Amino acid sequence: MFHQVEGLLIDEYCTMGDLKGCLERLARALFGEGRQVRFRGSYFPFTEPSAEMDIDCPICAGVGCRTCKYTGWIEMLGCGMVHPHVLRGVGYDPAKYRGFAFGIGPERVAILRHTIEEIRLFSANDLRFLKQF
Amino acid sequence: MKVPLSWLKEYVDITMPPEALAHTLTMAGLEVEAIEYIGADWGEDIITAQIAHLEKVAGSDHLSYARVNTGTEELGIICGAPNIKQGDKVPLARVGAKVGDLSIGEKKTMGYHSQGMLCSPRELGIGNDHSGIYILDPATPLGQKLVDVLGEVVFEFAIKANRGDLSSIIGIAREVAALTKQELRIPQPVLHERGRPTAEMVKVTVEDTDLCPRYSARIISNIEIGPSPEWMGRRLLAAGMRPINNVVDITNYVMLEFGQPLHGFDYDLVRHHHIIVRRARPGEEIVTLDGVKRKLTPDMLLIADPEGPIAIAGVMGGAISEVNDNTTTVLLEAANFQAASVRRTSVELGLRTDASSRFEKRLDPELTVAGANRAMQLMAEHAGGTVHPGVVDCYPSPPQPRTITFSTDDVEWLTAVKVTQHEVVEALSWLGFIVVPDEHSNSMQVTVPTFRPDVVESADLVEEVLRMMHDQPAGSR
Ligand SMILES: [Zn+2]
Repeated sequence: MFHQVEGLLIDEYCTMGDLKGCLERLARALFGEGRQVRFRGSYFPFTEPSAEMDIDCPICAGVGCRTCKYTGWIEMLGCGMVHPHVLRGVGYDPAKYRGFAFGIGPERVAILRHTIEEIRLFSANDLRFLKQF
Repeated sequence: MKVPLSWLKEYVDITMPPEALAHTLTMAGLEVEAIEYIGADWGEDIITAQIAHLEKVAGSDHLSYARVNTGTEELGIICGAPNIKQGDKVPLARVGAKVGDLSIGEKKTMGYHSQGMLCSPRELGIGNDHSGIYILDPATPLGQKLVDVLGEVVFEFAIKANRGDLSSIIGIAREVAALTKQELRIPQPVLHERGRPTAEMVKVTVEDTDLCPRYSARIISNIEIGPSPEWMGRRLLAAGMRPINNVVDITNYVMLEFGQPLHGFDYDLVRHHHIIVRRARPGEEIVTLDGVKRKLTPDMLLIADPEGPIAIAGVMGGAISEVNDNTTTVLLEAANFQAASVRRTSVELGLRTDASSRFEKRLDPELTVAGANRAMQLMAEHAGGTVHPGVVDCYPSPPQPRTITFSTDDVEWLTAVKVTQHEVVEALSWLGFIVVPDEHSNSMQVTVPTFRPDVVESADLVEEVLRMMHDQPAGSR
């Protein structure tokens, strides 16, 4: 089973700067105002340039713990500027239009927001677990 | 992909601590998943020593008593390993050392006083071999901390699917060089060619050039199969490969170094000395190097001789012409196979190898001769032998280099980052692109190197420029 929440925006003005601003705000809304974020270069077939966004670990506040594999950072999502071949594929001229896209695993967000250590709980249909939300 | 840093340093100077380098590479999209510190747990009391004197222990069928010299003192050690002899340099765990979970203390055995332990590769955690003591290079100084001699830092990279060029240590060195502004040093082998020309010794026919854009072959004769040098074995182990013999190890070494998979055939076992690259015929079978008989289907590409299959192209060699202890002449294959074909064959056969996983990521056809030459040089050095003149090289249509018109506006369009023409020229040139800037505008012509088939249009170049800017300049809006 695989869940993903996706965001896509295409217009004549948006840039990677907007993408970063948007995702920074998202990270802070979900995990607190003080959250640090960083963007790492990455590869996805449908975006170019591509990046992955990390947030400083909400569990240890960036000090290093088991959840963040002692790096202080946790991978949050993948994102990037919509690849020109995707734009051309739907009839948009990449010289005129541009866009950004991102995808987040909702389980990952829930794990970090509610400090849930066992991913299988989401699909276990245990009412004791589900009633907490 | 596991890369020992001492190996990486052959091609590029490393100017920062390993952790800082890992961070720089990770942020630039070359993710370091783990850092392994080989020897970090050896401490002060595992040191280098030399066997000064060796005698059998009376009343034991396998124990011996060694007097070992640490450079400053001589210690007595009881040892059960069969491989040591007087004069060998060995790792010595002195009293007080910890070897894995074992604490070394003084003890008495059969009337002898033992003041430590000599260590096997497995005890040190640097190999699987537990059949004997690790024999150090004869030039090793005595009394050194072993970690200073055999210690190693190994980066484990997660290589993205579009970057086949990074499945090689030189490919990673190129990124390190670009990101830290250091010179890249690629080995330029000098070969002493003698004897019959290669072209008179072997014929190569590529029937299906759609699946095999390039096939290069070289020959070395009068070699002697034996173990490979200690440093090579150690590097292969640190990179996750098991040493086998000099010829096989050199093909693996060059595959890791250049990213070009190589296959050595025993020349005398290739019938009629004729290599044919073709699709399999219905019902054909082959016994691969792992001893398994495999049924082939007509969409699979084979290496054959006139009498039948001798290898599955890009996946695994056949047992029939395998390099063995009696091999004296090696026919070396350095080829480029179509990525999709290798992937399909490997999936259908359920057989994934180091070679197939590299071919699946699309390799640079320009690598074949460079890899073959490097292997010839190393084989001549470490297996003796005569390198025959010339390469038999079937390369009917070399790809035309791709040129992209690019401008600083392209960077700003996608990222909102303002860059100068100079910055863009600089960044792309470091990565191996040939850039000709336009003098009257902020645009430029960018020629893509053959090892970067993933770079097709301007958006790809924007990413390259962005990767080279360390401080995440795409400001948030
Ligand atoms: Zn943490």
